[in-house]
Amino acid sequence: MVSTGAPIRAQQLGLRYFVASMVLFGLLIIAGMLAATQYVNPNFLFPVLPFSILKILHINTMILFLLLAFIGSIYWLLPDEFGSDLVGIRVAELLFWVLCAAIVVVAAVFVFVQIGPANETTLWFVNQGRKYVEAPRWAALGIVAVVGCFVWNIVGTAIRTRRVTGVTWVLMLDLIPLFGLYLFAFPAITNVSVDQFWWWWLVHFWVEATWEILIGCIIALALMQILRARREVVETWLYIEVALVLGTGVLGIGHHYFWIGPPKYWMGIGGFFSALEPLPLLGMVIHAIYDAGTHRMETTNHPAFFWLLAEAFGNFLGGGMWGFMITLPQINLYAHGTQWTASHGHFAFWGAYGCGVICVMYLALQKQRGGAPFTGNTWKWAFGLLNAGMLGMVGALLVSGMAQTFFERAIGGSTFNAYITAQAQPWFLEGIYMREVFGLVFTAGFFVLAWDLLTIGRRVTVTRLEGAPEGTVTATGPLA
Amino acid sequence: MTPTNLLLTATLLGLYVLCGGAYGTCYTLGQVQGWRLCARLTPGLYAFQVAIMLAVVFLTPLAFAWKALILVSTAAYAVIPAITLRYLRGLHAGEET
Repeated sequence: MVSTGAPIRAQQLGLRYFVASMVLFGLLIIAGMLAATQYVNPNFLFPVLPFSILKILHINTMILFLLLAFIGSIYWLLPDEFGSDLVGIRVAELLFWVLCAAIVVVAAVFVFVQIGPANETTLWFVNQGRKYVEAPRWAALGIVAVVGCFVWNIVGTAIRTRRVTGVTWVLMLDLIPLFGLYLFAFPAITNVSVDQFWWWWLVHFWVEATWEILIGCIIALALMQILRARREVVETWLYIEVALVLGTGVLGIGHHYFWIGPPKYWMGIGGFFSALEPLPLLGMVIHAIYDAGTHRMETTNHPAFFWLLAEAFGNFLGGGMWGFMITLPQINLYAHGTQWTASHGHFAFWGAYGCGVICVMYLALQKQRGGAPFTGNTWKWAFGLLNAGMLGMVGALLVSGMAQTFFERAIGGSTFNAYITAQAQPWFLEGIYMREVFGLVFTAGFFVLAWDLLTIGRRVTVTRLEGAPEGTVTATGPLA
Repeated sequence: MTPTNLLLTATLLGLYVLCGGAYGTCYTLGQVQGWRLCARLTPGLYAFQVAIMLAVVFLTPLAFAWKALILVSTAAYAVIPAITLRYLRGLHAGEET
């Protein structure tokens, strides 16, 4: 362990990344709620802030919320792993502020400029046009610089300390595709099939390969702190998880190739490997229950532990169950790109990543605030409201998506008239209304979570008994 | 595939995975926590998953290859919890002693 006192610079930077990540989490909720309101009332904010812009803001802040939280988690956890502060941390600190400024400028351009003349100027300064990576090129170059610095921080520290563990090996190998795949955001390919083919490399291999491994590494490091799990156990499980996730996830990219023009054999490959994807997720659920059972919930950080459990179950349900409903080509032909897909996307991102990064935030805060046990009820409200809100939203979107698939695609044949007809169906509309209601529940959960993260553990006076091991504390005063 | 068959098939596929998860969860809770109710529910949940698999095979218009895949997956779901748990116990043996 590096220290038991004040956080060192990489960890302080990690906390800053968490703060930025939570701000983006709030912005993604605001953009999402405004977009959801436009489904209920299409004239709302039109044409000042059209749906297309709100959707860009919603999904890009989601990507950045998670990416910044991942980076923050690594900056927080790795100094303990290396037994040293990270190399090049001053540059990383500088780039953090540059990144924050860039995000503000890009968001302002999306909101106030919105569209460009559809030439090179637009690509460089307004919008690159591809979903999830709309940021203009100058900002995308900034992201490359930040991720490049992040890679240097980790690899440089590993070289300097010559202390590379199994987790850090996996992490460093994962950073190569994490960094390299983002470069697919740049080419402006005019053939839409070719463009989509490579764009999916970026989106799918980030979300269902490199991010899965990254969160696996983060959770592995977190487990050693939350449950004091043995390193060899955690690392062995990480290797298995990496093998299973890559074994099913890499060729699972085929489920994105069904309808964009690649050869027909992708239907078989994509459907087969996608159908296998729930199996490793089931293994993770079993591991989570096993850990919860054998440790009998004995941890000083219950919020982190419960968010960890939520991640295992959310990943299985959102990625596994919701994904399996629409992944086979015969179903996907009708269901892709409907609210059904949106339902799957919301649940899978939340389960696989959202819950995981909140877990690490609690872990970092506990150490930063003296190591006192995290108890109290506020985190339970946040946990309940956020998860109930998410379950309600994805359930409501599922109903809307099924209605849309049925009326617009299967009966109506995907014509524009069928689209309009489906949007007016009572089943569709009821789902859309309920999504708005549960979106408010989720929003309330966010505010409770933000309040809890700001205050938990602050109102405790901690005294560590002389000679007692780290983590053994006597708390006086009210527990937050 | 008719519109009704489309919704039926997708719903069955979702329930199929949900049952697999419920079966794995109950099996593990029964074994690790010793919860009798979970232990009793375990075979029933797997039987329900098999019933859904049969419904997918006989009631849906999915191609033969996908039905065969789901058939094989059902066998995999049966053994995954036991194999995973046995492996976990071996892995954690040093901690528990």
